[in-house]
Amino acid sequence: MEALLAVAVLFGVFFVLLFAGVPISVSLGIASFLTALVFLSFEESTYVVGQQMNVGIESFSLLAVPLFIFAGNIMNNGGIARRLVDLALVLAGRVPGALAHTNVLGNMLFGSLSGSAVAAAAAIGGTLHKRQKEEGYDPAFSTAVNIASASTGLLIPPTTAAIVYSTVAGGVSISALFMAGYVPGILMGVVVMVVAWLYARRRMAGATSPRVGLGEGLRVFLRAVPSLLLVIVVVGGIVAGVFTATEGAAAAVLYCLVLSLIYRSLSWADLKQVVTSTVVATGVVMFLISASSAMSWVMAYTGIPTAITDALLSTADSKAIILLLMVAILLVVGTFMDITPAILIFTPIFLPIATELGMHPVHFGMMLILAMCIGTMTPPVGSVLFVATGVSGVTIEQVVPRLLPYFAGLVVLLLAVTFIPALSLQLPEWLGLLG
Amino acid sequence: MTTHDRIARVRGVLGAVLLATAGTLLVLMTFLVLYQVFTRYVLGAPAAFTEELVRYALIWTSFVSAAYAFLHRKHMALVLVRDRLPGRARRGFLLGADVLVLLFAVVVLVVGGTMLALAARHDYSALLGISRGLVYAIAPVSGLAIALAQVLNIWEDVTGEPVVEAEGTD
Amino acid sequence: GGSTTSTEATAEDPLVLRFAHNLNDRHVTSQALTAFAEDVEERSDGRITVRMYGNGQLGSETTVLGQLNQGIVDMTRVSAPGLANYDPGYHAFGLPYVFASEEEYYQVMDSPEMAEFFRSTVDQGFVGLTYYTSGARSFYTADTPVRTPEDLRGLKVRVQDMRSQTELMAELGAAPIVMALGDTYTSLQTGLIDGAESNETVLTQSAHGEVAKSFSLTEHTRIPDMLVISSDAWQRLSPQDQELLVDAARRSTEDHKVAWAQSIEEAVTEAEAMGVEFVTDVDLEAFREATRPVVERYVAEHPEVAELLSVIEAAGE
Ligand code: NA
Ligand code: NA
Repeated sequence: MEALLAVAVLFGVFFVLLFAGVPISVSLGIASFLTALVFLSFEESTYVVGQQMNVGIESFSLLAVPLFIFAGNIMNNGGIARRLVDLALVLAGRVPGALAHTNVLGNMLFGSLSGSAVAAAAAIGGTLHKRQKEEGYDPAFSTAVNIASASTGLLIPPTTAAIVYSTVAGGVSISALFMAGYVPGILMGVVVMVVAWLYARRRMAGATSPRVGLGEGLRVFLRAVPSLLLVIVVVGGIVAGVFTATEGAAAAVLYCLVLSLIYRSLSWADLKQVVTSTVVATGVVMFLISASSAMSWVMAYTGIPTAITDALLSTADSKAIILLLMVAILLVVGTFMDITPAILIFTPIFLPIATELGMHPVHFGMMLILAMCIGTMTPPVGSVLFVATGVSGVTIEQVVPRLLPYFAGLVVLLLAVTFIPALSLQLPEWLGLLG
Repeated sequence: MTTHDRIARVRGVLGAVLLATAGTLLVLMTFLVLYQVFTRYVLGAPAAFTEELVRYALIWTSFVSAAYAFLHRKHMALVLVRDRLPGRARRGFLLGADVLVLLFAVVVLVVGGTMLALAARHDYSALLGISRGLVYAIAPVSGLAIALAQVLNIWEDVTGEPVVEAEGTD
Repeated sequence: GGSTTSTEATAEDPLVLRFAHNLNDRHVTSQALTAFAEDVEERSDGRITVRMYGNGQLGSETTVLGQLNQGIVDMTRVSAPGLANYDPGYHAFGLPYVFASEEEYYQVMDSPEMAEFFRSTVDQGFVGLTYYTSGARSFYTADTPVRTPEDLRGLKVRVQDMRSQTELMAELGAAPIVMALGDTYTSLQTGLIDGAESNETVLTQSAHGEVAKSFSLTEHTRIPDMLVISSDAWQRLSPQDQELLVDAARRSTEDHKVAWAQSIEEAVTEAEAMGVEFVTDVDLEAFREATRPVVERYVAEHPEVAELLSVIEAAGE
């Protein structure tokens, strides 16, 4: 009874405020406060929501989030992205639709450095857009490819999505999550490339880039080496236990800063802009985490996760059906919600069910993040969709039909990741990270 | 000087203070974490205090940054319903949302945060002996900053004229 | 919190006590808490029920204590020094060599004087119902035996997030490192820290025995866990029900002693099989002398600590 009332108040208030346009963090906070108020006095509710909003962000490992955002913002300031695009161009040069594949590879390479899908869509897609247009690529096609592959970096480490998930899931190993992301992240890129190849083979058979000589290829590769080295320093360092994710993130800030100085791509004005956008992103993300920990507390106090788990396990009797149900809900959520709030809100609800079904928390995390990656490309709310169409000047109406095959391919991948644990768990298992 | 100019000036000063504070804390945290790695591998004697200090600094950075983001209306929100409404209704929703943020900041951050800070004032951290009351004091302080930011935003909603900042901090 | 009193409570409309703690289900002490809860329900014929929030669902020890103080939760389990923010006397339990031996520890903790102290903090917002042992804490390292304080000099040692513990380490000339227990294994492995301190179960349950092969029985602290109820909830109980709770609590303490001793015994056997050496010829007197200043500092700072130490001394005779 208590849990039922709590569910009604918490989600009722939350969704009303959400759709009324109240900031998501404040919608969460107010919904939590009002739910607490049903069971506790005004003073008690005020105290406990205030308390959770503070202690929820008192965490050394969470510092990795603003620091990776910081590093990513330095990286976005040019130099690094261009070198990665050049490298991707050499790698994908002879395949039909070469520039589209270049875009996918570029997004994956960029994603292996940065954890921002939006930044990838803008930096890589933005760099390639003009060239694709010149070579006669259909802008709606190239934009769709950019959108579908931009969020590979949310799975390929380093990724703040994994850090946020680790925190809200109660300290799931960040190293294990990082390693688990490689296979689904790379497969995501592969799926997009296969779909693009099928399209390009029929409609744009001649669209390959000129052959690049070995010497030129080597030169391009060497120019990208300093950027790629960051992966080894940061991800390698974290997984090998040389330093924590937070220390790795600070190292990434330093590394990107030094690299930008060498490339002379960062002026004082740029740096000020970088700090400003990092402060904004930090405020947005951390306040969301802060408010969501109030929500988690209220849910635990009123017994919501247990009630939902019990209800779901008693109505649906097969594991497969429950998993499909979760996938469906997450895809719907992904249409209108951004990845961080979705992780923060749905982990406390779905993780207990997943573990009850025998799913490893690392595996569940990959399923959740991939579902949300797909969500970044769908209307009505899709951060990547908005940025990528903005960069290329294509309307959302034009790009959506072109996105459908990629969406279908990625949903198939999501089902594969959901039902084949090894896709997520094998790599961390081999490295002895699953404990 | 018109009301509009005064509001623009308050907005400029508030934004500059919040940005300078959060930016400094952000850079400081980066340095502290790097220093921690440096002392461990280069000096062979890990600094123990950095972890504690950085944990507290993160709370400060987060709340101050959040206030800055409220001042500039940067917090994530689902505006697709609101944006489809006719002008008057849209302004009503915008105003309503801004009032709710203001109330939330006052009730939870200012009042709740003060209660928390007072209750924890004799609780000292293990290594540096910092009072946790001091750590949590940032909640009411940024609560007030958010409240002020919301007053400015609400003024904007009501008058319908966006305030151009006196200084370009964004 | 509610406002019903235990005299109005019935099995149909029971008085619900919300009990939050951060131990996992397999922990010996967690099982004692569950046994306590079941005992209370049974002996009150369902008039009083205990709603358990384990596994840190509602937060860390300090966080939950804040909630208890506000009346949001009614009961919790907390390491005794955690209560010092509310009653400074509780600092005494975190100090080194307060108890000469396990025997004396039990004698003092079970004494009527101690029960009286547990009951004395109604004005501070809580009442202690009983304690649970968490054994004696000793130093363990990768391979360095610790027989005298000299052996610790310059070592980086992980300690709990408590001021008395960092001061204790500093007094012994070691560098205290505060980190989560979860990070300790890798830190020992990579040499980020040279050692840590805990009771024997850490070697097996947290697998530290795989990377720390020398466990020296310095037994420097015996820090009890406390079972506390908020004064608010306490005063809603009738005197008979207060007694019922205390009885159930005491009973769980007695059963827990046996279970604890058994878990230590198992841990030692298992750790020896892992290749851990237990160093028993420790110069306890030297450690006691070296750490004396910590005790003196707390006594000088808090009269309540001096008071409790004299209670302990009297009960230990
Ligand atoms: Na990434
Ligand atoms: Na979407």
